[in-house]
Amino acid sequence: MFSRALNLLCVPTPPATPPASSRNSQYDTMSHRKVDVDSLGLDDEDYESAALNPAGPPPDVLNAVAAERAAHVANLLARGAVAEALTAALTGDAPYGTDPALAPAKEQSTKAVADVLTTARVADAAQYLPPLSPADRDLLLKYVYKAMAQPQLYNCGALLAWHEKITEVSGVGSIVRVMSDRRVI
Amino acid sequence: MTNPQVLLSLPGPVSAFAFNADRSQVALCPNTNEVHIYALDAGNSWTLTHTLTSHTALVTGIDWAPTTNRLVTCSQDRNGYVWSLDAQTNQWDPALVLLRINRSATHVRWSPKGDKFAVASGAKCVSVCYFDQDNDWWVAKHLKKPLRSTVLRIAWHPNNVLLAAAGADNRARVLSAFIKGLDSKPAPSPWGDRLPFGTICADIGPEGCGWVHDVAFSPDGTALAFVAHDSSFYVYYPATAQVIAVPTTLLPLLGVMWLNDTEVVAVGHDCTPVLFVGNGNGEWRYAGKIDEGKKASTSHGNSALAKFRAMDSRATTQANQDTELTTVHQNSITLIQPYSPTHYVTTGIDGKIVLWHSLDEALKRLALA
Repeated sequence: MFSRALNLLCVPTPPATPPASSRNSQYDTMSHRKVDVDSLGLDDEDYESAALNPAGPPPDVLNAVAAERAAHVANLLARGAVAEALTAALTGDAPYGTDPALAPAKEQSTKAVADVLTTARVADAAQYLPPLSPADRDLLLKYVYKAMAQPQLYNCGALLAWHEKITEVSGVGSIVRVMSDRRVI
Repeated sequence: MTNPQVLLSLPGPVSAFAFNADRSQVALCPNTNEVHIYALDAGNSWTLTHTLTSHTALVTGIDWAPTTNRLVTCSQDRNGYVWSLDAQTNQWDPALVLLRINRSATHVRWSPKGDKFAVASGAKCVSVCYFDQDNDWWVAKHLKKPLRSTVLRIAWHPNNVLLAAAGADNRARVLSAFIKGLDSKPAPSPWGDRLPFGTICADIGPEGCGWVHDVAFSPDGTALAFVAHDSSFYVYYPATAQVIAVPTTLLPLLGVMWLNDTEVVAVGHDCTPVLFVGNGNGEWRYAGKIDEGKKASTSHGNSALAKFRAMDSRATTQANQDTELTTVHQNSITLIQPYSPTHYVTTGIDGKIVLWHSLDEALKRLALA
């Protein structure tokens, strides 16, 4: 009786191969999941790294540029020149790349943009956004997403309102460009 | 004939299609491993005449050579077949083409003269195949060198030698597919003079470009248009090595086709063809959607017939149209092809093959605006 109970506890193993009817036919929808991709050959590592880290200034230059830009933007905001602050926050080399040494540049650049967006009134977006070039609006949206990824630091409510205003002007195309562009802030 | 006209409506997506030379037959793949050939019968409706079942996985590319009436198909089973129609038995006979690729084939196109074809594949190469008379066999030569990822689409230049490749490595390339013994030396063009097999005539990678979904040469062959996953339309001029980028507010575009030297139609995830217009001086702009979508008519919603129709097809008593798009295509359009000098045809994930008039008033208004 005890052995029969043990039999109930043992779960039978599933068959090793799928039934013949589902192999090599249009119904064979899962066999690609059993392929060991890693053993099939290396991906082109040079291509991946080059795509994610576009050729640009070295990290220390980018850090310096970001610090200067953040100071300039803070200056303009203190004077109340919001439109100029927005343009200034988007000018200069953006901290693209996955190098950890770029972290200060990314933080300062994102903070500068977030400061401008919280100072500017969302209701006035209609006068701030159209003068920007389409590429600048895409960059602004990248910063909005970057800031929204850190809700403990930035006010996501205001950022979401700005997201809506930017997509009203630039359409879903700009969101697609933020997602597909390999130049990551 | 209303514009646009739905020619066929299949229950599922169409993964590949091709019309024959006089547009009386169409070969398509209904998202399975089969190729179905429909013919236009006397009553002007399309009937299934042949089912070609040599492939064992999804058929990803079909092309029908207008001059030789041969079909070429390629599939995820890493094979290609060239089909010839046997006039006596009215059967299509397959001839296997060993593409020598270790990943799926994605797209196939006959060259303009119909004597060779190119197959794009996920094996980071393009197989250019021609018929070897001595061995009575289709031979494949590989174009590998600059390609770093899956080639999504290819397009032939009118001179039968140059091939454009749209890659998933965010680049569009123009390569030479010159086969010694088959091709005669091409006339000099802005793409290059000496063009042995494998020459890289152009390697275009605009900043921030996403996967390049489709490429197309202009009718005179002096420019290359391509669309990418970053919702942008690009035109490349080899004479000045200049790329014109037109970022759009739309969802990504998946197919592109030139109507003439200054107008390009593109299709994509917005379920409507869109128009791009150039001014002849290398400036291009987005002109608008060709299918704006008819406004939902409220009068139909209350008729008894509409209610019964909804009850029959959707098991609902409300004849609302919330589940239908207002455009003709109900899902993303993936393929666009020329049909005649005045028409083009599109198909997509909704399974409809739709014929569009390229000279109609709406288009003209968009172009001139």
